[in-house]
Amino acid sequence: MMQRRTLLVMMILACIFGQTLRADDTPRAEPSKGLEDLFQNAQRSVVKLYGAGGLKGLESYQSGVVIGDGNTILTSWSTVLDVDKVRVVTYDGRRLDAEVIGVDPECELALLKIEDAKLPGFQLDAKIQARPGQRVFSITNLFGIAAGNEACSYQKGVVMAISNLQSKFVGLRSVYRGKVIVVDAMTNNPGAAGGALIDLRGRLLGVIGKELRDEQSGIWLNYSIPIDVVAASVDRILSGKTRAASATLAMAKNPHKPAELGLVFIPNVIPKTPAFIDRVRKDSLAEKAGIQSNDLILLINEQRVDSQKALDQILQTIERGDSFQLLIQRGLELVRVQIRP
Amino acid sequence: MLVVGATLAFAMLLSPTQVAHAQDALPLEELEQLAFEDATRFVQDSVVQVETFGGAEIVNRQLTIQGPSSGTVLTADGWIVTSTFQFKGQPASITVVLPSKERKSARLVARDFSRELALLKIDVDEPLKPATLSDRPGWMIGQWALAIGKTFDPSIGSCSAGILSAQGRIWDKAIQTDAKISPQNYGGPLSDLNGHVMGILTPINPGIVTEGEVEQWYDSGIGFAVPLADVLDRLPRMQKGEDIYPGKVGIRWRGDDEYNQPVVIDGVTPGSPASDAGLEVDDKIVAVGPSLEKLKAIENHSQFKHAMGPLDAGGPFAVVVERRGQRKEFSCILTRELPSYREPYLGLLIDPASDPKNPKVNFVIPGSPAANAGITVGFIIESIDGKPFDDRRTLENRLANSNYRAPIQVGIRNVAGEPSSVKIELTTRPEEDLQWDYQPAAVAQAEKDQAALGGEPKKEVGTVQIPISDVQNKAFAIVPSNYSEKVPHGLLVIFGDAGNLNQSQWAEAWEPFAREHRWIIAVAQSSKENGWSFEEVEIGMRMQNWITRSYSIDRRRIAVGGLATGSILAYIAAAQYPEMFRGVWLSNPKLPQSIRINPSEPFKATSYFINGSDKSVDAFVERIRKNGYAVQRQSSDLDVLKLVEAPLLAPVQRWLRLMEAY
Repeated sequence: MMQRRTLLVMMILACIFGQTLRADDTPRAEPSKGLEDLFQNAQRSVVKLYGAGGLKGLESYQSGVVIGDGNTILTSWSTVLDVDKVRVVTYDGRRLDAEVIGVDPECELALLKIEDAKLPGFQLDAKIQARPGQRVFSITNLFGIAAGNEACSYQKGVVMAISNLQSKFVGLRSVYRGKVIVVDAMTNNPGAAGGALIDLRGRLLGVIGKELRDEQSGIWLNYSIPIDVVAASVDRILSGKTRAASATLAMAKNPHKPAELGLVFIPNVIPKTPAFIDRVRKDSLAEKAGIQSNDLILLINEQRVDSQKALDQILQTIERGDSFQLLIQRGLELVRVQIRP
Repeated sequence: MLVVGATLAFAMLLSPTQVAHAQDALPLEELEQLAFEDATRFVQDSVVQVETFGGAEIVNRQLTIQGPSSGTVLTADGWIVTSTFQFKGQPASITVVLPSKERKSARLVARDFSRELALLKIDVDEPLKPATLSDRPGWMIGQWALAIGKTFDPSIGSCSAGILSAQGRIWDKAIQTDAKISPQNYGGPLSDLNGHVMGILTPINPGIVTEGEVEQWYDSGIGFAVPLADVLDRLPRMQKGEDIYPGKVGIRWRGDDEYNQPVVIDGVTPGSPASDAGLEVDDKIVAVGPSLEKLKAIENHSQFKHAMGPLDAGGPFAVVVERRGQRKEFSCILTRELPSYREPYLGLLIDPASDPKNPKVNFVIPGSPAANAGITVGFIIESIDGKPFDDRRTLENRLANSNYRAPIQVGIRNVAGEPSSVKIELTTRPEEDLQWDYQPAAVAQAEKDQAALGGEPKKEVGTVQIPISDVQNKAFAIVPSNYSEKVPHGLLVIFGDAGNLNQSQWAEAWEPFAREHRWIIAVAQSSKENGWSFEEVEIGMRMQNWITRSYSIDRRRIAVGGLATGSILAYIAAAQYPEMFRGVWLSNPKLPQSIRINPSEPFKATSYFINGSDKSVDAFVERIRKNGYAVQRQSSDLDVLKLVEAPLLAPVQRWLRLMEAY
């Protein structure tokens, strides 16, 4: 108990007096001097990149992180890299030319090589996992605000969630559909893609992704691609085993149609008419599955059916021969049914 | 920093894991980080995903946001609070995804329209983990506050860290934070570092005007949460399916200095809780509260609004006033809607030159309540309901605060000087085109005086250009040639149809009326040929200002008019300054269907004259009437180019003259 009280007092005092007060036999609990060093050091592993663009709202600049040996740069794969030589400006103002040595279309990441720059690089430690509530900093050249030897910008934030772009955000138009670290700071700005997300110890947690807006909710998503995904992607690029990005909602060649399933919906008269079933045709697949009139379809294979239009779109992606699952609201009950062709 | 450190240490004393971490000698930032993570883990089992299916996409011209939002578990048996945000579009289905990832169908049981919260009920198989209440007396501005939502995963809470920015916001209904708030975590908790819930995140903000018209403030460093204790207080009522609305009492008060003036009642809405309880004009409110045991002292307007803010319709209200040096206590039940106000009408004109304490009747409109009660020209009005007047304003106030449905007792003195008292059955302002003719005695007298004196300082008359610099608009006034400083004039400010105006034609059309009935007509021309812009409303205000400073104007006779494209500006001017413009003339109005109409109030009961044959106008007229305003409706179209056609202007001019009548 004594020790706890001492700790409390020391913490309050430390907070008031900062670093001026310190006793050797008490725990360190002042705002760490470490942060200042950390900011200085991590900053050196972030570069400003300049390339193609400048038209139609596409920026011709972005950010990059130096990894490993100090001669390799990891960044976001974008139109900025559509030039023979990408201009790299280092923390100390050196202007170097870099060549794209490989890209991973799936993660939208690219590796660049520079000659003999000997920059301090981040380690790609796939074991570092970001956690909700964790404090983070981003280091990017957002809005191209820094040039020459000017420092890239820091932003502070907290990890809101580790999520998957594929599952939750139907309104997102992103090529990358994998795991992301979502933060509560406005990190994903023009020019910020390819920048670093670091933890309190200056370790690389992820690479800042491109700007992304959920078209359904209108909300901008601030996210980074986590280090384990990044490390695997770098391995693939270096070993030449990258894959093409998979189309997100592949259209079925011969899709299901509501009429053929035996479903008759209430008239679709407003923009978001709910998928209420008016009646079910006799001897149809729907009837066999146990669907009844007045049922409301909520989900198909866990995808949200917000309206009859959404239902049509989702059915377009399911081959006629494949079975699928529906979540139905019947009165106040939620019922799962399986359609088996 | 002190606050942060102390709070953090407090959190650690309660949480064994954090103390263990602290002893590992971690820097403050890492201790804070551990606290964020622990708090999020603790609270996340009380947070659910709320999803709606189907329903309108656009409500009041705003796109409703789709995708999951959050909710907070209040009880183990399935009562969940969320924000009203997702329910504006009347969804076909609501589901709740529990931390176990199980999806449940939810019923919307009740809403709190005062706080933008909604209560859901789900049936549960396993007891849920209710949110733990954070102890309010321990809160400190600047302490960490975590906004927790179920934006991404039903089992893992998403956390945004901020601080408690302020308490007592939105008239004491909400606390404020700078944590990142968005539609996705609306309904989720604002948690302290112990994982105890301080409040429920809501889209409430000072800009809320009506339901659905929610101004979005998210992602701007300012967000609000309703204290959980306030939500729990209302839970029993809401569980019974009772919606919560802001409570209204029905008083107006004097002055507009929020922080330096006491709350002195200037008007009591007839039929309101305040009038039923017995509150009166001139009462000074010194304390209010939900009951006489829980009173808050009131010294200024702001304190009054803060004390009223959290009180709900249907709830008790206690008030202590000072009346003629005595303390008096009153109680009533607050109401959701005040009875719609209509301006009472006597049907008489007062001689502007008569003694303010003893106003003299100048004219009695035939068929009016005053005429029916036997009042004639020359009578002196001495009192209303037994109370005398100090000035013209008191007379107006007495009348305006009378209930038009109930009779009033008027003390009079007839032409022979004999006092008596008559009962007058009030009505509302006439909506038909009254044919009446009258030559005010005062005007005739002034004409004589003017002829006799001749030495009065000369004001510019005829078509006068109004100086309004720094804008493109032209503005002119038609001042009658017989203008006299001694006679207060009526003022009609007109926004013309867009485009150039022929000034001499306008003068020709209005000068006879202006001269005969003592009016000044001011006309504004749009800066662009093809239309008006909303900002040009200001021009009308500047014209009004210049004329009232330059000429003698009767404030009971100030009206605004708008022709065709100019009509919307006239409407906006009147809606913005309802106490200034007592009449609005809209000719062939072109108004958006959804235009907002504020309900009529004492001294804000503008009367309308609306002409035009377009059927769309009828819907607007109906809405205006429903809000308590008197409307004279004429189907004639006025050709704005042929303003000289006197028969068309005559009804407008009769209506203008009626404005003066009490």
